[in-house]
Amino acid sequence: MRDALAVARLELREWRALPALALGAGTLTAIVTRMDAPADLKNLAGLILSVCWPVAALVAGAGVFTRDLREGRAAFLCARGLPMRWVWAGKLLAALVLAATAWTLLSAPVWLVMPLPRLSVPVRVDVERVAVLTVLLIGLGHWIALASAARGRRLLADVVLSVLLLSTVTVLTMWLWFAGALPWSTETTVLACCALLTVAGAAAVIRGRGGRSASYAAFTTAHWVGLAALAAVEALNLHVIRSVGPDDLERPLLQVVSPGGEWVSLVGKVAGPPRKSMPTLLVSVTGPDVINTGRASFWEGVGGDLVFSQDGRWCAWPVLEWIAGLGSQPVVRLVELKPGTPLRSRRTPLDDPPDADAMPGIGLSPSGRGMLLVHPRGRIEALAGEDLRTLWKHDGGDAAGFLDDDNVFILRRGSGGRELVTLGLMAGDERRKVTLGGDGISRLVLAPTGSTALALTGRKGGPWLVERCDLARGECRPLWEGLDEAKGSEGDWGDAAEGAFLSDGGVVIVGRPQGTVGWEVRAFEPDDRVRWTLPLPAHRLAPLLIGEPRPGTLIIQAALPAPEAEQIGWPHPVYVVGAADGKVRRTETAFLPPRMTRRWHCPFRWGRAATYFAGDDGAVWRLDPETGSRDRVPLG
Amino acid sequence: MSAAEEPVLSFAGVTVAYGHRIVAEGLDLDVSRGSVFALLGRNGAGKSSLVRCALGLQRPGKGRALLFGRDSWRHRASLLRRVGFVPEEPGAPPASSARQLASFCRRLHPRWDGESFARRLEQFGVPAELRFDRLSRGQKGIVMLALALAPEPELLVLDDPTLGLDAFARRFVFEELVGELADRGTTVFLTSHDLAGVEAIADRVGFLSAGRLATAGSLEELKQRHQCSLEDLFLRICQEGEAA
Repeated sequence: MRDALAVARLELREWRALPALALGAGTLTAIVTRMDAPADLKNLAGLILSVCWPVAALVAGAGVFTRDLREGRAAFLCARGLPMRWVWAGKLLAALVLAATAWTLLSAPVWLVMPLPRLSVPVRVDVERVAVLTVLLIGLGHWIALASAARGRRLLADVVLSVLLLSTVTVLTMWLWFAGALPWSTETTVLACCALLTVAGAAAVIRGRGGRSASYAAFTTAHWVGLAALAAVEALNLHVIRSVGPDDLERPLLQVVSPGGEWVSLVGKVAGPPRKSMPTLLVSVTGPDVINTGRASFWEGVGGDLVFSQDGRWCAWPVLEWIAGLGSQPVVRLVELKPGTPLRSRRTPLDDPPDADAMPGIGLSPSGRGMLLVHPRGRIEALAGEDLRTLWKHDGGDAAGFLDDDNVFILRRGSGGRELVTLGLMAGDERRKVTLGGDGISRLVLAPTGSTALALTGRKGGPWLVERCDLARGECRPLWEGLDEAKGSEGDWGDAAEGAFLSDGGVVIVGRPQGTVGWEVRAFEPDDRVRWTLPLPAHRLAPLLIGEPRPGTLIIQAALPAPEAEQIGWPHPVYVVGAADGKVRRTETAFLPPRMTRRWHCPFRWGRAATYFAGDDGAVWRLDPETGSRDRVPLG
Repeated sequence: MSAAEEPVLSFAGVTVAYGHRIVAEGLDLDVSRGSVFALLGRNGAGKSSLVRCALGLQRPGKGRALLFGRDSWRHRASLLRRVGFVPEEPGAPPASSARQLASFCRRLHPRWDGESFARRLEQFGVPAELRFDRLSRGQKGIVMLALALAPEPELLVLDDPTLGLDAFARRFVFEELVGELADRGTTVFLTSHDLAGVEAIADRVGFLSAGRLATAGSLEELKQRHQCSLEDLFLRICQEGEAA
C-alpha cells in the first residue's frame, strides 16, 4: 500500500498543472457569465469552455498513455521493482484525487459568484454533444494508440480484448439502465463504465499474460480519461444549471406554483437549434432570483402529460425514451422540484410497453408520495417512494384512477353499474365501494378531508352529470345533471365540467348545460342546495382554472366572444367571483395568455396571496386575485 | 551449484519476435557473478529486447530469462529490487526533479545511498531541482545512472548508457564507475556501441548477429583467438552475419 501511495504522490506531482488549469477555466466561466457582452459572444465563450475541458482530458490521458508505452511497461516504475498492482492502484488513486480536485476548482468560481442576479445571463453549452464528442475522441485515441503499440500478436490480441471489454462494459451498462437497475444520467453511466473498467483492468493486469503493457496502459488511460470525462460532464451540467435562466425558454409550456406562492416552476424548451427529441428544460425560479434550474428528459410529442403533486413539489410524466441502436423504452420519470438543488429525475421502466401514442395516465398523490399509472388497456399500477417501486397492480380496473395520500380510487364495472372502488395505496386492499349513476367517469375531485368526492360521470348517448359521493357511506347523489359532453369549439377543451370544494364545505362547479350557449358557474351549499348561479356568456372557458386562493374568493378564467377579444388583444380575462354571493368582477388588468390550450395550461395554480401565470413571451406574471392587478415577476 | 557459483543472469533458449521478424532465436547465455558482460551488436540486433526480457519487462516468445536463478517475468517485482537499470532512452516522470525522483526511489530501497547520488549529480553539474524534461540528454542519462547506482544493486544493467554523454561523462562511466563497481564485485550487464569503452572494462563479451549469439567468451581470449582488436572482431562478425 505504501508503494501505491508513493506512485499516487508521484502522479499527482506530474499532473499538478491540471487543477490549476481547471481553476483558470472555472474563473473564466464565472467572468464570462458576468460580462455584459452580446449573447453570441457568451455562447461562443460557453462553447469554447465546453470543449476545452474534454480536450484537456484527452491530452492528459494520451500523455499518460504515451509515456507508459514508451518503455514497454511503464519502465521507470516497473524497473524499480514495484508490483504491478500497486503501480496500477496508485495511478487510479491519483486519478480519483485529481479528478475530484479539478472538478472542485472548476466549479468553485461559478458557485461563489452564483448568488449575483446577473448570472442568469445565459451561456449555453450543448452538454450531450460535448459528452459524445469526448467519448468518441477518447475511444479513437485509445484505439489508435493501442494499435500502434501492438507490435506482436499477443499485444494485438490484448488490443482486441480491451476493445471487446470496453464494448461489453458499454452494452452491459446500457442494459442495466434499460432494466431499471441504474438511474439514468450521463454521470451515472460514465461512473459505471469507470467502475467496471476498474474491475476488468485489474483482472487484465493481474492476469499478466504477454502484452501486459498494452493492457496496463489501456486501462490506466481509460480510468484517467473516464474520470476526467466524468468531471467534465459534471462541470458542464453545473455550468448549464447555473447559466440558463427562464429567459432562455423558447416556449414556456407549463408552470406550477408552490402552495405558498414562494416559487414557480417553468417547463419549456430551451432556445437553440432544433433537434429531434430535444429534451425540455425544467426551470424552477422564485421571485427575483433564480433558485435552481435543471434539465429533465421530457420529449415533447412522445411523452404524456405532466402531473404535479398538490404541494407542487413533485412532477411526473410518462415518456418513450430512445437510445441509438437499442430501441425505445417506455418509462415514467419523477422529479423533485426542490428549491436550491439541481433537478434530477428518477426513472422507472414500464412493464407494459404502451404504444407511443397511448402513454399511460399518471396521478400523483397530494404529497407526491404515491403514484398511480393507468395503462391504456385498463391495468392500474400503484407506485410509491422516490425510487418508484411498484406496490401492486390491479387488472380489473377501468381507464380511470385517482389517489390521495392513503387511498386509490378506481372505476370498474360492477354488478349494479359503474363502481368507484377505494383501495389502500400501500397494500391495494379494497376498502370501500360506491356505485355511480353514470357509466363513465371523466374527473374526480376529492375534498380536502378525503371523505367526499365530486365525480363527473357520463351516460352513453345522454347528458353528463356531476355527483357528490360520500366515500365513507358508499353513497352517490347527483348534484348537477344535464351537462353537455362539452366538446369545446376547438375540440380540445376537454371535460364537461370542473369542480372544487370551498373552504366552508360548499362546492363550486363550472359546467356547460345542455341546450345553452356558453358556460355556467354554480355554487352549492354543503347540503347540495344551490347557493348561486352565474351564467358566463363566453363561448370558451377553461374550467380547470377555478379555485379558491383565499376563503371566499374564486378565480375563473373565461374567454370572451371573438369581437371583444380582438378589441382587447388579450382574449382571456380573469374573473374574480365572490364565493358567498356569486358576484362577479372582471379584472381590469389581469389576463391569461391567448394561446393556452388545455394541454399546456393545466398546471395553473394559485398561492395563498397571489396567482402566477406565464405569458407567451416567457414572462411570469403575478396576479392579485382580489384586485386583479398584475405585475411581472422579475426573473434575474 | 552454490549461490556464489550460480549465474546472476541467464538466458535459456530465449526467442524474441515481433510479428514475423525474429530478433533473437534460441539464445543461451550466462552472466556469472562479479563479471562485466558486454552484449554487442548492430542497431536493431535485439540487444534492448533482450535487456527488457532480462528485467522481466518483456516476456520472451520462447525460453526463459533468469535473474538470480529465478524467472524474471514471473518474479519481476522482487528481483528488480536487487537490480539497477539504466535504459537506452532515459525515461522518468517528466515533471519531477532529480531530487524528487530520488525521494520517490528512497522509499523503495532500504539500502539507498543518498550521499553518493548527490555526489554524482554534483560531479557532472546536473541541477537537482530542475524538472527532468528540462535536462539535456546527457544530464538525463546521468540522473538515471545515479538512480540506478544509489540502491547499491547486486546487478547493474546498462542499455547503451553512454548514448548522448560527452567524453568526460563517457570516461567516467567506463573507466571509473564501472571499474569501481567491478572491483566491489557488482555484476554488470551492458550493451553499448562504444567499443573502446567496452574494451577497457569488460571481461566477457557476446556478439549478437542475425538473431543469434554469434560468439561469446572472455574478451582477452577472443582477441587472442582472432588476433585482432574488439572493433575489428565486431566488424568481422557483422560482415559474416550479413553474408549469412
